[in-house]
Amino acid sequence: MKIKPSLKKKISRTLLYFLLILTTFLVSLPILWMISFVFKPAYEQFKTPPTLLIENLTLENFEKAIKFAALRYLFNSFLVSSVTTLLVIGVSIFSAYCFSRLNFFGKKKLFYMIIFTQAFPLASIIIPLYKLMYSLHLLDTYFSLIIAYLTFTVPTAVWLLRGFILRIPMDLEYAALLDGCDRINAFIRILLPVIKPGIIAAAVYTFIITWQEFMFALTFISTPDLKTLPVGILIFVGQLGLVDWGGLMASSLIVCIPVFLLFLILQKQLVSALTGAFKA
Amino acid sequence: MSEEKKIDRRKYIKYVGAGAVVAAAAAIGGYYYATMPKVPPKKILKSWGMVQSAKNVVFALEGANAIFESKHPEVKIETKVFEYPIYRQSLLTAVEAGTPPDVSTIDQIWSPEFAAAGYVEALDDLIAASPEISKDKFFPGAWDSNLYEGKMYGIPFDVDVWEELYYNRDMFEEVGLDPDKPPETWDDLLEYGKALTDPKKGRWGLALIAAKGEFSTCVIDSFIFSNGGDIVDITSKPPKATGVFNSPQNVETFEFLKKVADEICPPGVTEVDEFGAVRLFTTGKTAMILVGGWEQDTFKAQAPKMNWDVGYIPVPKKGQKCVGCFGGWNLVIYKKSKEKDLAWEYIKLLTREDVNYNVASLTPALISPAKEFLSKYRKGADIYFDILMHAKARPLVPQYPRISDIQLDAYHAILLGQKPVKKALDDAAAEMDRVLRG
Amino acid sequence: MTLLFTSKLLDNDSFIASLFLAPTIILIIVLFFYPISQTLWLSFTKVTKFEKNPQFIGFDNYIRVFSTYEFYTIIMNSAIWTSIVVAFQFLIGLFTALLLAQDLKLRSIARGLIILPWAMPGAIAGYLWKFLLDSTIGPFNWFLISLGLMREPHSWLGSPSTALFSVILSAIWKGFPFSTLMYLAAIQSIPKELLDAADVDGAGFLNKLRFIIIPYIMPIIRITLLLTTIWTFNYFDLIWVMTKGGPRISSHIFPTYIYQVAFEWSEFGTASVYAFIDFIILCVFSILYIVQLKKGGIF
Repeated sequence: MKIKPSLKKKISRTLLYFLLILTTFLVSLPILWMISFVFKPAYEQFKTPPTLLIENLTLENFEKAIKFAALRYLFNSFLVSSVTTLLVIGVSIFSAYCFSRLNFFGKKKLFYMIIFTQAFPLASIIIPLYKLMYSLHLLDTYFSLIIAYLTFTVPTAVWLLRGFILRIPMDLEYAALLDGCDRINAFIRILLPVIKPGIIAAAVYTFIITWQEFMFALTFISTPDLKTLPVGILIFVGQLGLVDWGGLMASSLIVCIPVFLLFLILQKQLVSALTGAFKA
Repeated sequence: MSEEKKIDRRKYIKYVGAGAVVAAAAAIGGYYYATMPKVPPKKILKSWGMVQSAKNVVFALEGANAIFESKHPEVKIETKVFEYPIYRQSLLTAVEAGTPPDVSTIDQIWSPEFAAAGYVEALDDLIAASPEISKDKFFPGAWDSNLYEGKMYGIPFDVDVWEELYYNRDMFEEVGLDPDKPPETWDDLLEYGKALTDPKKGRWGLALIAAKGEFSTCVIDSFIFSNGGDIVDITSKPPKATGVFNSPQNVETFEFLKKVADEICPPGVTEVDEFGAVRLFTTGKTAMILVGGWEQDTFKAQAPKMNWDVGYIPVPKKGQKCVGCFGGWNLVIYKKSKEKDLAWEYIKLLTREDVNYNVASLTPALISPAKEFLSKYRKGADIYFDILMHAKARPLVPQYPRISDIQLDAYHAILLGQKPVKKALDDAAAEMDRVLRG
Repeated sequence: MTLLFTSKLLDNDSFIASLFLAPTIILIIVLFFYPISQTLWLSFTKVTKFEKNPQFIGFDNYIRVFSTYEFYTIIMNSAIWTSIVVAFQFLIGLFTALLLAQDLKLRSIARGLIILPWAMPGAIAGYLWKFLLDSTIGPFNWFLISLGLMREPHSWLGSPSTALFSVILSAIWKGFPFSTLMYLAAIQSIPKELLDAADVDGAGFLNKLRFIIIPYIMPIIRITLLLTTIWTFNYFDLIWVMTKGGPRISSHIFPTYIYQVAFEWSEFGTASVYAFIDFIILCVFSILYIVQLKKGGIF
């Protein structure tokens, strides 16, 4: 029995919608759980059987989260992540340009080295790095984190940006060079605006990664006022494993919101940037 | 040509504008800085402590600080508080970086480590010169936890003990057990537990804490101590575990614990941490729980209607005295501190009976304020107090964190049925000896 | 307006390169070569907090580590962990990318929601999953029981046989959106003509997938696989929060074990051995991989 093509199309579209909704739902299920948990009062949080429905909506968990200086930690995380992102972009744009437009001695080897820097476990970079920070008297400052974060964000950013630049034909720059412009000007005035989406992509990636970083933030910062969010929310994990789940989850949500918003706003750019990166 | 000029001018205006904004900001900032009231520099005393969201200790500390500052007007106390999971790391980082606080609280189990590493001062001379600080005012186990190689390296600040037995009176009644008679012996515990266990109804007798973490070690230790055993012999040089950790009493203890886990606990004990156990108890999944008194507040918050009561840690045979596992915090002075005398004065203030009562996160380390504290805030205060007076501290060796891990590893091997008890303990003792030998 | 002299200099590729690359090179030296050489040095010494000055003891650390069963368990755990996580992140990433590439109305919202797991800090995701997988209170068990797949609750994180797989599950959930993003972008850059031509020829979806889509995005697949492998192998946050490597060492992988040995036991010498071996394993893997890629003309 032959199915009419238009009917076939309808079926496949419905199927696709169904799959999309199902997948999105399954993936977001844990987060929906978290949200429903946060609005429940303490005595309702652990009832069995567990359910997503809330019986007594309460904001007490959020109150706790905000009371314990979630806002201060928010500021710190924001500061560290923003500054790191700016620095990373600043450094990697130039390096990416070199790897994609220039030819120089040791280019290939250096590029491989960049990939290898990712291979080193953070747990062991920490030990020597913290001795280094100690001798530079940078421990317990924003600088220690920012510099440390550069370790693993610059290589990836360079790789990403190099990818974008490679895909962009050199025609425009050649035209500018022929007109008497020198390389640096050609780079700044012509290439940079074109790879703006790529820069946004690298920036968003760096921001997200540094926003959630935990190990360095834990080891390098001890002053409570300077702590970043992932470490700061541990205030709800008390001695000997006593956990105030309500407060923990509420402050966790607060941590996730900025990044989520950032992504929502920039996702169109992000995807089109990555798309542009891979266009032949 | 005029177009170019226009563009240049726009750019020029932009640059000048930006420069003007920056200059203005700098000027305003500079003005505020210059007109800030200049306070004469004071001596700073840095004090670090631990805080949990459950108790508003910072407020009380500020009160204590105010008292100190009024007595010593040339000093300003800078208090920093940390959350437990990162406190140790923060301290170690600061000490290694050469910028430790002057005084801080440290977990009892870190005392030998900090002393051996040379981070903290020996306080014997200061103690001898200060009659207000004397051993008999503190819980004996707490005082002794500061000893390392015969010297005192700290003063007890607050304490607590693992553990008491909490039970659900209603659930007892439901199966015909007398809620006024909690189980006293190991056999009692098993018997009661079995009566209370009904997997089909989703109920078990006891919530046993056994996940990876110091809380589990404390529970084990309380049973080891109550049965007359120990973990490490610290009087020998180097400290020895073989013959001690795998002693016949300990074999008995671990065999008992395995029986308990298998017969009267919900499946998956190795996953249960302190909070998981409390949840099991407050949601009525288990009728009993072995946990420390600070959780009483959690019981009230999570299960305000539950009818619970307190009992002693079950002992091997009737009439024996249970020995709890001591926990708590000690105040120490760092070797690198430049204000050691002030730090000592601060310690004396914090351990003054009235002050200690307010600033302690757990139970005050001094006996009489502790009594008062317990009767006011804890159910079963007499039982609690009794256990505190007879409790024992964990092994005072610098390598304690590793020793505790080895202990837990053996425990898990036993609970999961991967090794028979004697072999697990023998292997663990050998491993401990290797670590203790260095 | 540029001086003739400087324009000559500026046009010299190597000069520009050295200027532009200087920051990156400095970073790599300070933040990579220095820690690696330090770690290598430490691995040949005996050093704990109590003995401030490391004592050189040659290969003792290595010999001891190689003779413990922990070492081989950790290698195996790491291998299982990495391969399963990467494989599933690839499959689910590709699947969702294909889905999101379709012109469906709810696309934007779906994209935003799907990215959430990746954007969430690892420690928080760890606590969340720890709660979800709890054997008595966690909804996961109830979910499975109500679906009829299980009869009684199982302790996922407390049994050595399932602890590793439980953290694997949470890691797949947490990390797949990165692959989704990469593959989505790659798929969207396939020239429409190719796919339209295939439609005209009467190709079904599976055929399009096999002969057009996948070959076209193969370079991206390869790079994403390399990156996710390296990142997954060294991932710390989730496992530490959920199981701390337990029960016993059933869910310990290199980074978590290094952390425990270095920061809880203060045995920096031993920790450095593990760290260095971690690095060597990943280097060997990367080199083999890149050699493979070179054959395919990526670099």
